[in-house]
Amino acid sequence: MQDSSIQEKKVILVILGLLVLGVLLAGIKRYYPQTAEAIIYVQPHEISATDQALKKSTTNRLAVINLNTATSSDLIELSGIGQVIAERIVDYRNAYGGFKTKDDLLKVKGIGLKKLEKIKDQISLE
Amino acid sequence: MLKRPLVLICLCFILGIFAGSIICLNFLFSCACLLIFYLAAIFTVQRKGLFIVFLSLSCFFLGYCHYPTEQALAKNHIRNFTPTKGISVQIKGFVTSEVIQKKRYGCFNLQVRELSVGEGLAPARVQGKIQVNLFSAVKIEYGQELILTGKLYQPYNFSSGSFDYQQYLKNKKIYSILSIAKNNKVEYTGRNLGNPIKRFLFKLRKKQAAMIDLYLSPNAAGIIKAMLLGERYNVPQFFNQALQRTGTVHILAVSGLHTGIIIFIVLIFLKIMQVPFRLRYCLTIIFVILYCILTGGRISVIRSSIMAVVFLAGFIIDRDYDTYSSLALSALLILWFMPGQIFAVGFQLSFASVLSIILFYGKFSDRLYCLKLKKPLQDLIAGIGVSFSAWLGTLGLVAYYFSIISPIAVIANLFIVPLLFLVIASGLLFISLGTIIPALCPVLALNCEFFISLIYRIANFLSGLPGAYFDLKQISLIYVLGYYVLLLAVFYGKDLKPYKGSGLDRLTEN
Repeated sequence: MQDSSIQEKKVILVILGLLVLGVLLAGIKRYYPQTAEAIIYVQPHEISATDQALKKSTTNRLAVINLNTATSSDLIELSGIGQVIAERIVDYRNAYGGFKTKDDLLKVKGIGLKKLEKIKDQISLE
Repeated sequence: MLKRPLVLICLCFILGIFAGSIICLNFLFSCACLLIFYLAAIFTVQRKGLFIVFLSLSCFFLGYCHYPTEQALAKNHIRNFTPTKGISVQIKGFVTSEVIQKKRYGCFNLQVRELSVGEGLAPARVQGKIQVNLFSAVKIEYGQELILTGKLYQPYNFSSGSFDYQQYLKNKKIYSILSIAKNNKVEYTGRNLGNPIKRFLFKLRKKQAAMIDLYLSPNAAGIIKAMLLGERYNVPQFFNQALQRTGTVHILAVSGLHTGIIIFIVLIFLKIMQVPFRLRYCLTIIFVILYCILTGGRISVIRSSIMAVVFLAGFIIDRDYDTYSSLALSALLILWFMPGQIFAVGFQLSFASVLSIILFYGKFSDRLYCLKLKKPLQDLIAGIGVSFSAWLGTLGLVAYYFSIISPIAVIANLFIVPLLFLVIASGLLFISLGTIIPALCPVLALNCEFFISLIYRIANFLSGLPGAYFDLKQISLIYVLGYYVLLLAVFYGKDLKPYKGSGLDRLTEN
């Protein structure tokens, strides 16, 4: 029973601690909004130099869509690519065994030079 | 007698499934073998050695026969009406999953009932499950009976690399995809055929997701929804990437860690409310099952839920808990209904991580306690031990499927897993207290934001260290198998018998 009540006290302390922390963070947000922005929220632009270099590289498979393995639902996430073109890309891949270069996309109906330039950094082949 | 019969049955059953997928024997012959060995086991129940042999063989053939039986499709299965290229059809069926809704795209599973090809033809009665890709913003809910017009086709097989999309859908018993364009007809018949408990839980999940979206920033909302509700499709890419590189992406998947934390919180809460002992554990079991359904019933959640239920039930019926047996039971239950899951990466990783903790951490935990270190230091070393064991056990699979090795994972997990506890505690507080006292929502939401931000900073920092992770080229399965054989040899090869106290020696009585 002694152990149980200590456990309960710890839980109550944790809950209170979270409430206290929340109030403190709310106070920081109210009186120091810029500090709050830096401390409290996940900052998507905090990208390391490694990531920035990788993002420019065409072999960054984690951040781009792979033309040879993506589903049509993945492909419509590319800017300017709708359902019809996404399915044409998949049909081309099935017919010709995949894309050897990014320029092969020009052979898909509906993708011209302008569209290719727009999505070139968002796609990979590996 | 066998001390852990479930483990032996499970191992033989799994071997049978593997054999069933590789070797092709006459089905009647294999059924005959199954019956013969089963009868032999009955007649040799008094003779220890022979009984174990015949029991093993009958379980092996049970797995061998069950796998193709489960994979076999009925004559009127929709797969038999689905061409490779695609055909315009009208389908009637009801929604069997929650609808994933993105900006211009929605996805859900449909249990089909009727299929019409071409105008003027009577619909055919069909069965089976399909995936529906909807390219419009129509609002659809679980259980609704719909009439859909679109293009029906088989999933494309783009298996370059280790990910086989066709096999991935096949493991979920999906053999066809229906693609519905923006202008195609989506008609709701007015009937709702879903399970009422599921419908209630999905509605509850939607309400909780809406509450999270209201009070948290978009990035944090996506992450919290993944950790608490199992909705992983809104996790920001940069966050996912940082976790992948540090080998901590498992915190986004609702699994044993999340279930364990939630059980702990629920049990403590019920204890504070002075709920009687047995009722407390019964209510927790019900909560675990409902939570499993609410989070979409993923394999990792099912596995952890079964193990948790067995663990909690042990307290109610006053029986000792055995980790090996409960792991084997959860594997058996999953594989009985979905034998194809043995080939799924989620299943393999989920079980590999738990098994490796039991096998490898168990080996030195006894020695650790013999050192009689001070508690904080002992806990720290224990934490490193658990993290290292899980990392060792999943290293081969992660390298094979994701072509990445993260040596930093051992350290990263030490920092991030405790923070995960705080995120889940804050998230649960936010959802529960926030529902009762909405004025507390903004304050409680800030806790979630802060802890998530901390996780990201730590993961981002650690992934930037030299040697934190390595991208690999595609590796062969032979190397992965060799790695696991070497691992077992290193930990257990010294002794002819398994290390006493590790658990493997307790499979059979000496």
